[in-house]
Amino acid sequence: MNKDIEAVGPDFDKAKMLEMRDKTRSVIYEIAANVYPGMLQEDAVSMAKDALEKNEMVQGWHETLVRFGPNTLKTLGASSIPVVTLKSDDIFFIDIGPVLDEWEGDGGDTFTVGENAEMQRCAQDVRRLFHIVRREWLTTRISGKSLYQFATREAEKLGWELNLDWSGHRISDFPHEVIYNGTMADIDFRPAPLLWVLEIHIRHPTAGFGAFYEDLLLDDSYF
Amino acid sequence: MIIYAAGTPVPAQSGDTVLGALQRAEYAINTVCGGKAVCGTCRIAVSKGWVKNLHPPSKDEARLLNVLKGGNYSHRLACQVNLDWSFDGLTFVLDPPPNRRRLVMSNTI
Repeated sequence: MNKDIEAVGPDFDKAKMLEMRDKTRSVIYEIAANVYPGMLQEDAVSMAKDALEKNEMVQGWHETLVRFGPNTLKTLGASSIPVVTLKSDDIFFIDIGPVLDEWEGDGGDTFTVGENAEMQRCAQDVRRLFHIVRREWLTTRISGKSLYQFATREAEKLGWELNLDWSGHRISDFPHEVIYNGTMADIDFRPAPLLWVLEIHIRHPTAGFGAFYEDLLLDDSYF
Repeated sequence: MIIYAAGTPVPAQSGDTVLGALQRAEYAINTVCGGKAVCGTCRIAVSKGWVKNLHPPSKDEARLLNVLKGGNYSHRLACQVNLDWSFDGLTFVLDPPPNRRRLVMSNTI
């Protein structure tokens, strides 16, 4: 079963997938650098699309997301609250899934502006949790399903709720959906490196914000 | 109304997108991004006489159509073509870009 779920297409190329990963993360930081307090989320999404175009990554496999403040609570596929402006102390995340030539990228990260310590902790903890979970994957033979159970417990230890609507997926040469359109949390075997994206979306249990981070499942040498 | 996908009649309603009408009719069409004008897999080639009758593409649709391989003036994204009754009889063929790949069941890692 894992052989089918972890199949790749004829254009799969390890070096190209890693190159796409680097380009994806580079554009995320380019977008983040152009987000500022007072900006409308809709304008940030438009700016993000322009940045992707500038980097020759107009085609994607999922829509471009920039979510501000209360919209950072929104789950996968949910529409954002319209006309949200980034406040002077605020949090936002970016999630892009570009396709360049035959290869898919996928990356997400969270950023803060201003001095809100809880928001800053949320943005730091989502990266921290990503690596806690990734190292558990790296050092054990844990299945995708157990990995997200582990992630849920670890998120709670840090004081956050883990949103399992975002629970990992395949990545490959475009489009991975024809191979497997389910989540990593649904698989009962250990996900292989470079073929999966580990997604972590945490939410504050009471305050109206959250954070998101995702990257490929890879060993420490890639971070 | 009826629209024609490669000659196959497909029932449609005003307010549908072409993609929505095709999906409701269980016509085989790819969509990866879910109708967000992002993936380009639902690209269609509209028959010559119909091209000028369609509303102009949005910025997102035009930008994507411009970069998809093998593009031409008749191409639109099925997810972005909104239908009203004036489109009764619309004819088109599916013309997805070439980077829809074949599935090879092997793991190269």
